[in-house]
Amino acid sequence: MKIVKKVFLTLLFPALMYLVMWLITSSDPDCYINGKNIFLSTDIIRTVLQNACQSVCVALAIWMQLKNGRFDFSIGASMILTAIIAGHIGTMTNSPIVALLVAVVCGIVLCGITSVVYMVGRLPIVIATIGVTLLYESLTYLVFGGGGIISYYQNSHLSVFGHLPGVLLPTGLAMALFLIFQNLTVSGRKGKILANNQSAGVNIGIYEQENVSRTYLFSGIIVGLAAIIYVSQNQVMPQSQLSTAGVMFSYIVSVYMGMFIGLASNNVIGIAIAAIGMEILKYGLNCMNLGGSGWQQIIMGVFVMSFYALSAQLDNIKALCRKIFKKEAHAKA
Amino acid sequence: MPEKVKTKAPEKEEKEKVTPAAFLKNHATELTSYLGLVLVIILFFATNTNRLMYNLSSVIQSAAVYSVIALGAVFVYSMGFMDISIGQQVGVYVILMILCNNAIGGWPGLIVGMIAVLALALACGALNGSLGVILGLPSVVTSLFLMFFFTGVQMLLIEGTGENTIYLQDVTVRPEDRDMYSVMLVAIIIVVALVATYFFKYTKLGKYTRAIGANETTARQSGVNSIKWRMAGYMALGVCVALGSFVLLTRTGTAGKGTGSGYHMDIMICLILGGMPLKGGMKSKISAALVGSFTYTLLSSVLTTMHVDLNMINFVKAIIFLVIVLMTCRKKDGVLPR
Amino acid sequence: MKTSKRVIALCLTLVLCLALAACGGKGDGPKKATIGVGFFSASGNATVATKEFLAGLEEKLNVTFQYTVLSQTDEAQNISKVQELIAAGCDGIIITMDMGMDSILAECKAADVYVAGFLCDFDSSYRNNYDGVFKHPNFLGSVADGDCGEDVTRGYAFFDSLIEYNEKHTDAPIKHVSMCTFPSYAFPLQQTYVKQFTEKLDEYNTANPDKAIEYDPYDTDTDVLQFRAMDSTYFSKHDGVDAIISFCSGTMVYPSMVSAGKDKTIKLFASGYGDGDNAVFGSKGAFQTEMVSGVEAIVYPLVLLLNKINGVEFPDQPAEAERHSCASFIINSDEDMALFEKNIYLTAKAEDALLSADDVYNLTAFGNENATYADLVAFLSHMTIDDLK
Repeated sequence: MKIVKKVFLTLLFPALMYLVMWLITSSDPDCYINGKNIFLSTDIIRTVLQNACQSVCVALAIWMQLKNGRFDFSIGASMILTAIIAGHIGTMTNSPIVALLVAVVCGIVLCGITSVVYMVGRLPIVIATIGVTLLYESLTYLVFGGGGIISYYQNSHLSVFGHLPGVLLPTGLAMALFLIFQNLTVSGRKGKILANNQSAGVNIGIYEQENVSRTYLFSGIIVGLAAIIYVSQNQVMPQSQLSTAGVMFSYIVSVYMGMFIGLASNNVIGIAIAAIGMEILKYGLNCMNLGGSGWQQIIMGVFVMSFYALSAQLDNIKALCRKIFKKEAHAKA
Repeated sequence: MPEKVKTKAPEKEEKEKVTPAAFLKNHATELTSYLGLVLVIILFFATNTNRLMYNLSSVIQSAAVYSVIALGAVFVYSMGFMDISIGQQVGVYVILMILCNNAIGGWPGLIVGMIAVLALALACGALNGSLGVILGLPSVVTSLFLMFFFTGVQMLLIEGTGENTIYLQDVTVRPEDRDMYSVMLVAIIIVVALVATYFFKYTKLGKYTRAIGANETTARQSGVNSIKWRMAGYMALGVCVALGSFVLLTRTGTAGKGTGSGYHMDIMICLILGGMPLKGGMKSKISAALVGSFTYTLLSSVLTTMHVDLNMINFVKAIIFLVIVLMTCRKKDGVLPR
Repeated sequence: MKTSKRVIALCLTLVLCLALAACGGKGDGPKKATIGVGFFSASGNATVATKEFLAGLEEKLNVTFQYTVLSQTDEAQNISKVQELIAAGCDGIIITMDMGMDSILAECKAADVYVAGFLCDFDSSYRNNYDGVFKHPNFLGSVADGDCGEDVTRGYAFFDSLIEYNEKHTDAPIKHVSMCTFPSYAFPLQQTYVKQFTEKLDEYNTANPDKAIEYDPYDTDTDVLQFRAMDSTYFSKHDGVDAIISFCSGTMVYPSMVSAGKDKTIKLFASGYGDGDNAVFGSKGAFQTEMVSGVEAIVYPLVLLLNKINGVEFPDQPAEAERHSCASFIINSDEDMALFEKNIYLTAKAEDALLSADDVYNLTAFGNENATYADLVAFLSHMTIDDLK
């Protein structure tokens, strides 16, 4: 019974989102082609899953550090630089597998450098990662002629990890790695202690630097996996002025919502479900020709705010509901 | 009228005990920031053999917007918060001022636009400061909401005009004479800096925002109304963002979909370069805004005049940023900083 | 004593003669100049090829180039970039954006620097601020990316390409097309292309009912790409089309076709050229037409700037700055693509350009006393696929 309840609560968000968007698109003539609501076409499965996989990987990379008490601004920059390097090497070798391997190695190296700057420099994490972000962004103008990479995602052979079913491989790997790290490794458990009380953790003998290094190692692999999906789905341009933080922020909604949805099951599942729910919202907006417009941004903003406020006030709402129902029961009695 | 806080007597006693070595130790961050600024000033004058005056006024033009907004941002950063919606707010405010000017015409239209923008900025500040506390949200989430909201509004406003760029009409906000314009900008920076310094150093606003940054629970237990002063801090930023938007408008006279983009991050970099602790607290300084803004702008100018390849400039800047923060923000012992 | 005085006088005379000769020597070649180029993108074939083309001119024209990238949406950033180029010592600037022109020209006037446009029709300035920009003493003119003003014919060109395709593929002709553009506020001419294309198609369908090509009416909501990749719902909204006529860049359309698995079933007729498009062009893939402006068109702003810097001008130089269309490489077949692949646009080698350094030198007023403005403008219409043969 408990499992059924958990499954129900976990799936509630995307199901509600689908229902709401179905109702909205049903009343919008723009969504009807030849008498059929395009929101109900099978294309939604492919589009939502493909895009959700990208969101899941980036969200996991962000969440890996956030869960350990570190807000890492450099995730976006690491992903973009990795995507450019892996994309070019993949194009040169004409092999998506080589690109995937290079992405993972590159992700590990870049996250490793970030951890070294943080630990050796003993800088506040925001400052250290902003510095590293500036460095990685500047390198996007210097590697491979500074042109970013455009052609990779146009090539159906190379961009196999950006489409179904290939995209499920890096996503599944990222989710599995996250779960393994958090639940099955000593570092993951020690990380939880450090996140809850850093000083107490160090005082009981946890070697913090080793823990940070291992977290960044796993984080690097996930960044690499996110990068291969990113370069397979997007043209990747050189970045500057912390614009990669904007790329990162565009995926952060899944993190915050996943944290809440994950309460019913598991954080990783929560993030995946949140990403799917948000992609259903975006798909519906695209059907209504509101995708990419200002309205999408405003709806997203209002949605994030409402969702966050609701989750933050859940206990108060529950108490209020109990109070109301008690009063009704008393009145009936 | 803001209330003055009398804290001079204990400060005097403290000052008397300070030795030069202790002073250097206590002010290492500020001194490094100032040294950085002095260094880029020297380099600026050394490398600018041609077009010195032109480049100087270019630096003032760029630094003016950063300085004005950063001076307001000090109030928010001193509480240990950040606002990632600054860039989008700037974009919308500039567009609104132009639209009001176009709709009503001339200076009256622009003045109406400025008043509307000021009111909107204050409302946003109040919302940013209060929502987090009332709804129990991290401050970054409310500014994330505003960022999404203003991005959408900016797109809709520009798309609604049917043009890629909109212009101020029948009004000249920028003096024809470039030197005169520079003088005007310097005057604005000085006035805003003086007002911000007064509020930050000599009124409850500055004292309480720093107290919230140092320890919000303690501040609350000491009788500080945290919602009220959070709102006040964010509203101070709002006023400066509105003013900064006007300064930007004087520079360009136009606006588009991307106006203001990246300012939130630029302001953060300026403050870090100026020695502002991102956790806020009592070590927050108003000078960080000016030192950081001018260091950041002069650095760009110096690298360009030194003919550093434009693709290399960002790399050099990043290295310099890392070196400066390693010198100023390094924590010496204890657990790793977060 | 007298002799020594004579020797000294002789030496002084020699020195004077040598000095004069040296001065005269300096005046023979063009002045040393620095030109700033603000691109619309940091990457892509056009940017790389333009840089290579310009690098090949440096020695002959005694010019060095400084590069930067301008924003398509942020005029303040463009002003900062222009100020940076001026700070870097540029005597002239070539820009690819028409944003914040009043302020940019004020900056250039203050620094005595000239500006000209490249692959930009300056349409916003032309319509809203003609006097402020085109009559400004520091603005020298611009060459558009393809057509501009009254010369617009691209809509007809797309129609011709479509019919050419059907004539070559009588076994599997295209019977149903849809269209897409960028937003009209940024690219108003693309609306004209749509009108031209549909008008021609209507005429064709009336004259050839047996070969009629159905088209989905252009929808200002569905068919406008907001400078991002085409959304997958486009294919549901235009179910059953055989081809997409992309008046905007094909790089915004083709990846979405790949992602949606439509690259094998839908043909693409597009503006612009994206890196790697040749691998999926003609018989190899979805692209059937691409229309590209040659990078050599940069000689128009470059020559005008260098003339100004060298203090000369053409005898037929117009009093006000002008904007000109430039011919496009219209690539409709594998053979066309084979020719285009040998152009600097793809090879990124200066020797593969339509003009050598000597040719460009001869187009300038200081390099060739017979050079005229009309010759310079005429070159802009000689950048077609036939000119590559």
